[in-house]
Amino acid sequence: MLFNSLPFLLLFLPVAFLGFHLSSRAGARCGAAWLVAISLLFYFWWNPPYVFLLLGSITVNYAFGSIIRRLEGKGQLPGVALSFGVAFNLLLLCYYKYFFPLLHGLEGFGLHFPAHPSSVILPLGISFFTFTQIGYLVDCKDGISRGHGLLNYSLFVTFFPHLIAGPILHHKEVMPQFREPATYRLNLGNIRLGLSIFLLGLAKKTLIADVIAPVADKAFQSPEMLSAISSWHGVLCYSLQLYFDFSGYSEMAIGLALLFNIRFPANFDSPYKSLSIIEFWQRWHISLTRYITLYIYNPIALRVTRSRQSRGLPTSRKALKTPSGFLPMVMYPTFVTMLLAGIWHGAGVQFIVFGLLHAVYVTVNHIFRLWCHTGRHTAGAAPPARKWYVDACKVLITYLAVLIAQIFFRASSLAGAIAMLKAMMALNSVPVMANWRLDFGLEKGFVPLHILASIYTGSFWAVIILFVLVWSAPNILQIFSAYNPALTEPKTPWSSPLRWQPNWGWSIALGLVGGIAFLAVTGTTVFLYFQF
Amino acid sequence: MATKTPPYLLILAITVVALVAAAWWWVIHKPMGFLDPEYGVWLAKLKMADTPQPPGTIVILGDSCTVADLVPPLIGRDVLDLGLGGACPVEEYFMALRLLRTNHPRAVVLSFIPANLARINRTGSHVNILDRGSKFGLLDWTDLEQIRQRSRALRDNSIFDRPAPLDMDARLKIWLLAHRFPAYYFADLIGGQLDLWKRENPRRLLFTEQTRGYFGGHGALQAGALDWNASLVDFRPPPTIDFYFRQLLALFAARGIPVYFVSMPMSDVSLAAMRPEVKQAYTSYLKELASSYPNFHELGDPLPSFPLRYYHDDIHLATAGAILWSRRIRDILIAGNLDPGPVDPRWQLPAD
Repeated sequence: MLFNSLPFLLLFLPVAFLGFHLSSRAGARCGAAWLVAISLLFYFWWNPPYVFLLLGSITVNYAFGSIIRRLEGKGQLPGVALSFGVAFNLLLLCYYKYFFPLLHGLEGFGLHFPAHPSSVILPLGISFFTFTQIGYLVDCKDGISRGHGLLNYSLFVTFFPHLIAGPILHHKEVMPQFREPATYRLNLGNIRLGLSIFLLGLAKKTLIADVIAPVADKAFQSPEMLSAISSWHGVLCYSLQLYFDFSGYSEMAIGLALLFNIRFPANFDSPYKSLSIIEFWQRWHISLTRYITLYIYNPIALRVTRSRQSRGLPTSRKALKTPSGFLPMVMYPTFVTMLLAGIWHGAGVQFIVFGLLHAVYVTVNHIFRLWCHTGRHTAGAAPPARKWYVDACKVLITYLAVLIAQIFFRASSLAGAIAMLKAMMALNSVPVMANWRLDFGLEKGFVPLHILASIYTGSFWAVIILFVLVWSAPNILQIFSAYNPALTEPKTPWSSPLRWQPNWGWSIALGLVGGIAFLAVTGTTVFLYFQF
Repeated sequence: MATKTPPYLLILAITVVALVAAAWWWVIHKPMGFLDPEYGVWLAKLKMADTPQPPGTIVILGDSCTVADLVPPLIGRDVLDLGLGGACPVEEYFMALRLLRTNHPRAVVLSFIPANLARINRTGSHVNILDRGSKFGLLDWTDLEQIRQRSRALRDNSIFDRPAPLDMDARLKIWLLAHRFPAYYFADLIGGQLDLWKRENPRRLLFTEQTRGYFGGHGALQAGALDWNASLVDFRPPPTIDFYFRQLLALFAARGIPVYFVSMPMSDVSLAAMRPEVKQAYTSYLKELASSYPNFHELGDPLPSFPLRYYHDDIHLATAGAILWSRRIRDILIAGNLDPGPVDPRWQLPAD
């Protein structure tokens, strides 16, 4: 079921909400049990048989978690149990996500396999609930996760606002909230906050992302036929679609969780305002970045550091500035981590290229930080004033790097991505300015009314307006900062008067935006991150 | 959080409800203002189907090609075109039911392009039967529910998505569609700027009535383009379409009304680009129907073509082409012993 569908909004959500607050009157366990049941129904609604897969995954992981904790202090045994647990999760993920595409790919090289389906239906959210649970098992082994009841563990995995597209939760963030009695009491403040954030997210999805999506889809259908201007138009539209789709989804998830008195970590913090690629990953899909840093990058970096220390090699910052230190201690963990992040998104070669591109970007960023930017200023003195045009250049360069990687992220194949890049650089045979009137909505001449109408259908004017919005408007973490809507603070504090208050003005404004967004709901378009 | 705040949730709820209620009212009471101008054409057809027609009428049923390619008064006095833009046999089955409540035609001429039988639209995805059929007033809740049940029984998920528990998604959708829930009209409201078409829809309604079902475009195509039949990779009518096509034939067979299938012309470039296996599958399908239903006959070439210069867009003839094709159709009908009645030589298309 989609958050932007009428069955969800008219049937599921009211029942889930009322049921939760009514059942919670009978006690916290009743409230939690209701949430687990309704979350399983949420999953069941999409594809009934797969709810057993989800239940199986929860049961096995919970059992592994218990075993690992019981084996604590018994030498290598917790590690062995952890390996089995992680292997179970990865096998499940690989079977559904990578096995059949891999067979299909190998057949392209002339290999033959017994008859098999070209793919299986990917269980919705499998990457998310698998990663969540692997993290839990690792923390059980490290002694970070203590015993949690099966009910709370099931709720941690299945809680429907994050089940199918994140954020990837850490048990330490939400398990305490599930145990808190206040979670099961009616809290009008949270409902006001949650509903307001949910409506803003819905508006981003239905009024912006879905509207420009057809332009992007059309462009990526046959990139080899596009002129340079049309290809830029299509790629920029996709970039904006992805931005508003993901930020809309993330806000809807935060808003929904608040309706049940749960605070999620932020997953999105104006990433296109980033001054560097490293900052971009701290603002984009924040929970994934945190996950891969915690469970992939850090362990690798730690292992390398310890190995160097055991061999008497230097591990200081000074050592990092030498190629022999930089390569194993920064570049190697970065490449492995970003490669895995790319593969996490999908089975195609284009996702590997996406991961590798970001690995290169992050490595270059580290080089700049180490060699070109001292970041030092006199102790006690104010940091040097930032020049706006320097920041603007940094934002633009970062965004262009992200944009190029997004082409591989979106294209249906590597060849499609390369064709799009060629079109953008005017290296195909189509005239550079062909279709420019269409792209600007000027096919009927410079008629203001037509231009106005073309904005709604995603012309270049719409792209320009949306980029102004992306680069100048505050995000929900900033607008709602006085009320702590998420567990994480916004990266940049916001001091403008445009801050949410539960007053008349905001209620009418959000009622209008939410009402229009609701009218635009048909539930025919999925969220882009659902495919992962 | 402080609780001494204005009734924030109440105001927000009232605002949302008021907005949705206003939109709902507009959708129910002002459809002529914002619905696609094709609505005027559909309305004219529904009106004609409900009006008792003179005995001996020959009724044309089909898709937009019959609407744009055939000018009934030029085929013969007894011809009435009830084809619907974007329709497949499902819509025309319900149109036939409606027609037969008050009429008993002498014969039926049927025509669907291959893409509409395969239910593939220009972008290569399935066309939405429910969208126009319900919005333009042809299908009510009972019809939609019948389609839902039939498509589920046939395990055909091309009309409704994969069934949710108790098929709640589809049930809710048809209930909301039948009650004109405004969320399904949002794109129309925006595209139609609330009342952009308030003059165009009545004009088209009148024009279509005056021409007994014709509505087409004047200007000829500026540049060559392939229609979406040419992009079909195979021809397989979905089970629900096939079922309603057969129901349509059975409906007329039960009343002793013969049905003649006459294909509308594709442009010469599109026909040349059409895959041979699609042509083969399409003609075989029609032959199989003809062998199963004794009242079903094919007339003329199953895949006729016309030069591209006669086309208004990639698939519909311009007026000049429609006039020419209508005369040819008259000859085909007469050759098939189906007299369409005399043509008034003084008859002219009404001013557009």
